[in-house]
Amino acid sequence: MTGTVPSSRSAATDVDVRPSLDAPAVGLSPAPRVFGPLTRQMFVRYAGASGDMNPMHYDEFVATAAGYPSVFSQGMHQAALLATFATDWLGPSNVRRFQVRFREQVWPGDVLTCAGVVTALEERPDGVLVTVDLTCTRQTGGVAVSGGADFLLPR
Amino acid sequence: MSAPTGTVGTPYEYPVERGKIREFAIAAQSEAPEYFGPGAVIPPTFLTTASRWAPDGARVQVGFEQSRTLHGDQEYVFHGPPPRAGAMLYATERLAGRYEKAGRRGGTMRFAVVVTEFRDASGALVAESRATLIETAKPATAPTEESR
Repeated sequence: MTGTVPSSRSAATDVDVRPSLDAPAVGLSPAPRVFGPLTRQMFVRYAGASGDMNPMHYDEFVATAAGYPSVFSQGMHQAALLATFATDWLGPSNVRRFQVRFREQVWPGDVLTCAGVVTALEERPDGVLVTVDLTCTRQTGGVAVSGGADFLLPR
Repeated sequence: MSAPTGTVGTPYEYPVERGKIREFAIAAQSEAPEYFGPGAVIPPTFLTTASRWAPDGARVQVGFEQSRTLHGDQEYVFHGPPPRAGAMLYATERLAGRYEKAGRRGGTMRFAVVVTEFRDASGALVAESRATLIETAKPATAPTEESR
């Protein structure tokens, strides 16, 4: 396995970088996933999928009239991308908690890198509860979204 | 209108739909097979779509000025495997708390925590959404640092 970062179109590659779910370990960190450059079409697609029709995210006139340089991405859009990274890693059915804090705005053309690290393991009767820290970072190095999640990995 | 802590919205039904899961997963740039198909599981932030089913009176009114309101933090908790397509959930929103902090540039920032409970037909708690909303001390549309 090389250190190549999977592209946003090769989710199948992410499966290959899933660590062994039999032996999660504190400090374990899979290959990050890069999303972008982000487009206005992605914002529109997320607006429709989520039902968040705030025009600040797709109507250039409304956004610039409000003093912004352009439309910007929904914070929950970044959260959804970070969740994609996390569930590709640890499994969509295993998630038990997912939390995000919105820190920095994300603009058209931004490239986001989603990364995570295991911070704790807890034995449970029905499996191992894996706690991870998650970050979604802009190409500037600024953190757009930080958060954490718990996944219950069945035995 | 500003609701006090403990205010509860009108409960509403929230059907978990396969097509909506698919649409959401595509917007989230996921190709995980678990999100596509008859037994599709919901993505971690999918419950944000519940509000489109909310009738009048379902949302609690935090009373913040819209132009100064930010979504600061969001958490989803699942009390078991996340719901799947075909599930019917019963959602109730409540204002779980309010607090204030001094703004970095003066003034007062106000916070409101809005929790939505999602239960199944038996009344068992399936999932919870916890949103922290912030009313900034100054308009949220302030210019960037570079332009100051």
